Amino acid sequence: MMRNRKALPLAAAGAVVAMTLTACGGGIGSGDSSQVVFATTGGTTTEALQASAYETLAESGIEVLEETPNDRAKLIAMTESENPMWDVFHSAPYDTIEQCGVLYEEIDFDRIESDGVNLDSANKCGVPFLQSNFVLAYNADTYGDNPPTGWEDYYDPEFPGERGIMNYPKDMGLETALLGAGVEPDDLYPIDYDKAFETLDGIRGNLHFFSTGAEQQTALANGTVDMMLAWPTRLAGAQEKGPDIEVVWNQPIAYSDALGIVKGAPNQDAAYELINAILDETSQAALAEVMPITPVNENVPTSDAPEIEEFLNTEEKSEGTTITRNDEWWGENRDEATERWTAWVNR
Amino acid sequence: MFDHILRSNAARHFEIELASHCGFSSNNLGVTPVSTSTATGDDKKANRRATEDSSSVKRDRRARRMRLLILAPPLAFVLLLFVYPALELLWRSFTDPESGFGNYVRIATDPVVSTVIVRTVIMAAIVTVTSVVIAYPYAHLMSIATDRWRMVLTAVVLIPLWTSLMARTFAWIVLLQNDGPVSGLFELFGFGPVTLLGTTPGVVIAMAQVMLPFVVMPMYTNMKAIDLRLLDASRSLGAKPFTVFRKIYLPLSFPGIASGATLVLVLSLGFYVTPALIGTPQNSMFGQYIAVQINELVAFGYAGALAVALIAVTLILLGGVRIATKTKMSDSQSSIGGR
Repeated sequence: MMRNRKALPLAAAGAVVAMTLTACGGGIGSGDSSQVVFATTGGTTTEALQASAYETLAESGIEVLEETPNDRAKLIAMTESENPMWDVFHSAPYDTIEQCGVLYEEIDFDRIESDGVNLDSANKCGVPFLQSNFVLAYNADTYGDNPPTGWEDYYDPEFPGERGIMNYPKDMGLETALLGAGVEPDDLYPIDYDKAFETLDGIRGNLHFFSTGAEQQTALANGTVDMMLAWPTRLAGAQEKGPDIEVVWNQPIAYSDALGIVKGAPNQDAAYELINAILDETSQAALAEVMPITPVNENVPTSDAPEIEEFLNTEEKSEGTTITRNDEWWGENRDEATERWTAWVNR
Repeated sequence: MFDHILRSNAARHFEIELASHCGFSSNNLGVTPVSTSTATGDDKKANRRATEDSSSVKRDRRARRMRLLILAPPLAFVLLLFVYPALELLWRSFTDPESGFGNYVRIATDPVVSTVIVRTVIMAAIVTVTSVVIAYPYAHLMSIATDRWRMVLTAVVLIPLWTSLMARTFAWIVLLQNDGPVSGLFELFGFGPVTLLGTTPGVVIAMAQVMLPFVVMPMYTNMKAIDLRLLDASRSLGAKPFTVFRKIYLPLSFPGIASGATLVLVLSLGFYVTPALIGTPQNSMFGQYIAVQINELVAFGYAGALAVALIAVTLILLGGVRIATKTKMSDSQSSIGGR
């Protein structure tokens, strides 16, 4: 009896602790619009939003709880169990297209404050919030007077240098290989796998695969690779460490990141608030200030800071050669492409 | 004094834990097993008393209930957090994306799987051999060192074990850099600058370090129990040092080698963190292939089937090792003891 009396408060305390913990992890089923859970990448993007969008929401009494990384497997497990703990998911347009209505809620575009916002690349379940480009970057200290001039050089086995590439087909290894093989930009899709892998085979011995932006940055900075199919957001960081990093402004591949509302999300009203806060001028300016991205809010100018501007795709630099990733194709073919890519890498 | 404590507690405890992991009884290792179950003895005693005294029946019942009560939380923990997810995994491998043996047929016909399995087994074998070769002299040194040195040697092996695996792996990334200290060491011996990060040798070096305690401790426990007078005896009968080692010490230390090697082999087969961070996708191991299925393709069913396949491969290898070591052990026993 005595023991039970002691046990009860203890159990209650335990339950409270457990509830607090799960609440911190994502506010299960709280439905309370004073908070919103944002699953995102972390890193520079997130830091910029912390200082902008999160602040905006805090002023209107909404707390943003952050979950990093934005693990898609977790998202699937959550929506499958119909008990999602996340509200807004930092995604890619091809995923919001493919999984619309499954992983993501349809967006009510009447609730998106689109003043000045370029929604051209929006889809039913995805709102674009930043635009950037996959580029061919190289170490100018190494190449001196004979730098690469395009994807033909990157994929030319005779062209010297170690190459870096991300170990995800969605990061344009297939498209750039086809461009390297001389395929016309208009004929890229549907992807000709055989031709792409044949081209990749040629430089296989000099390829280094990376899975994080940090690895990419380090490899460029310490000379492990001489050129890279790169994320532009990591180039300034690599250059800071010493080498002179240059970009070949020939056929950069434009992409956008999208925000999706998680299917069955507990705080959907607040989710719209967060999306609107990320699209507004303050947040877009905060993003543009720290990364070479083109804001989706056209009222916001791109950065003119030299270390950002240098890696920013502009019409003057790329002269109409920019190619846009086909998100429709990727939505339908992502799994097959990933399987084929993994098989090729492991061959 | 220290030696006694170390042997009777730390090392033996460790040993028993290891032995139960890899299916070797601690008897093989020349250690008296610690009695883990006193329950049966208690029961018998209690039963005898019960016929004499009905109040002790109650006491006994209470004791049993108490035992159940104590056992319930860990049991619930294991059932809920290990058995249930494991069964779910197995279930999904037969039902996701559709019910049937589809996932297993796919494993059998997927050329990537066989490539990765062969690579993983080879990798695990290399790591095992490397660890054993490094650990053997080290364990021997530990077994003959003075108390103070033994303490130092033990600490050197165990302290890394208590450090986070992630921290250690990131440390290896720094050490294995192109212009890093390990490459410098190779250069010192005239091998020129070597690339280790992202290569098989780099992964082997880092994995062998991670595995070292798991092979040193069983070997040490075994070697400590070897009667060194046997060596003197054989020497006095005219055996040359190498013969003494080959005919006496090596066979006697074999149970330790077998135990440590088995443990490292099993751990290496399922290793993920170190090969994922230090290796490259081209030399990815089985764990990494499963991770691709989960993280990128979100194919839980196929990933589950792959995990089952990995367990099957591990069990087959363990069975092989078990048979091999049994023959070996009876050989060595008959050659030494004449039994």
